[in-house]
Amino acid sequence: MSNSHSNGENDKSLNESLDKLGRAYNSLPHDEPPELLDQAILNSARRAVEKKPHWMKFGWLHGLTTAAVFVLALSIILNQREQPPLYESSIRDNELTGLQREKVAKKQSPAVQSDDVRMELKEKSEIRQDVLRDAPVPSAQESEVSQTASEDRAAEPAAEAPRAIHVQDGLQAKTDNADKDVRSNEAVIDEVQVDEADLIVETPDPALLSRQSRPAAVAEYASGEVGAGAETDSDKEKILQDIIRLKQSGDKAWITRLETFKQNYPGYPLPEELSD
Amino acid sequence: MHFSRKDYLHRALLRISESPAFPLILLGAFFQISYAAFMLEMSDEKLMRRYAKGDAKAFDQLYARHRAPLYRYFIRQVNNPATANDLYQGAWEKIIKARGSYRPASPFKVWMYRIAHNHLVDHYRRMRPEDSVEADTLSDNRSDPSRSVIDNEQNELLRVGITSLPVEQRNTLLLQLETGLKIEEIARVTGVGRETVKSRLRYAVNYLKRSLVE
Repeated sequence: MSNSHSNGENDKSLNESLDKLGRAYNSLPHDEPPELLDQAILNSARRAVEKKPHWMKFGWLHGLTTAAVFVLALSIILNQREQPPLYESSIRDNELTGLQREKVAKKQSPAVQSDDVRMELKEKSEIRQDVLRDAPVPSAQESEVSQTASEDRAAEPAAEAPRAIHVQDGLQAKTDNADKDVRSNEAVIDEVQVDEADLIVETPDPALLSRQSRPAAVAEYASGEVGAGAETDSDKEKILQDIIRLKQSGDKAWITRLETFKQNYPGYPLPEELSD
Repeated sequence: MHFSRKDYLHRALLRISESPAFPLILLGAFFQISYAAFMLEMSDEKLMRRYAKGDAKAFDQLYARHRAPLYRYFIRQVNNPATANDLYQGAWEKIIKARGSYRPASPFKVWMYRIAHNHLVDHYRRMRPEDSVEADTLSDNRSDPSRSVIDNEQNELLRVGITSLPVEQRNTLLLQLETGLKIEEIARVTGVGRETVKSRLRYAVNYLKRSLVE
């Protein structure tokens, strides 16, 4: 009890002393911070709460979208460069179809190959004639039905020029249709009226070839063949090389193979090793 | 014809009042004045909360209220303007950085002086033994004789007496005299018990009494 009483008195005396001291303390000069310091602190406080622009909050997203757009644009540009225009690709497709046909024909046996080439040429000429006759009609059935009408139109020479567009389309369709019919009946092919320039492969005179040098004769032979190129010649040369190898090894099979070669490629100039 | 400054002012006011934007100007001025009054009435805790949410003007008001007491708290502690400036700026930087961690449950003044006290303690810890406060204070007093001549003798005695107090007692006494914090609040700021604060205050008061009487 006495302790609490003394504590209370002590607190009271302390408070009184502090009040007196406070009054004396307030009479001391009132020091204040320099203005520059004030400005520095206030600026620092403002900078601390300055809001960033909205797009800077998602800086990573901004960068990501920019990169994505760039990659997409680059890939489209590269893709466009690799692919030719549509009309060019369609032309190339037509060409490829012809080349593919040649390759297929080459893969077949040489005897069949020559027949196939001949037949194909016949078909082409036949189809060309048909298509020129009924150019506006796209399908084969319609062309047969409207044959009389097409004859009338064929009389107009000026109308043939626009029809050239249909010629190529019709040519492909007709080739496919006629492929089956012509192959099924070889006899019919002989009776078909075809353009001799397209059909017949002019073979060079063997006597003339013997007088010429062999590379020149081969070149002339190749130029005489329709659709035959350097690849065909190289294949033939390979066959000949094989026959020469067989002959040199003493295998009798070279005779039969040479005979077959002569049958398949009549008029093709033979090398000196085999010309005996 | 000579126009006085009053005439110019009168003409300018007339032009402003005649302009079509005058109602807008009046409205803006009204909002500015009411906002300032709103800020003046706002408590420290609310101002700090507003500042933590991004209102820089709230900090301006808060700073205006506490700048002088906090500065005096530092300068009376170290009695060296350069050191006091550094401590003062450092304390405010810490307050600005810690704005997000402020909880309105505790009084702003306690929170602020706790940061300032810790900053001061860090300063004392960083100091070398030979650069003790007492040595710094004495040298400062001796190197500035003109100040003691100009100042009142009693005030000078009090100032010297305060600066010559031990660090803990001086710190406690300055918190009481400068900020007006209660004993419990001083205990929270300094991180000691209530009775420790009271005994420190009692020792400091008795020492100053003796020094003033002598």
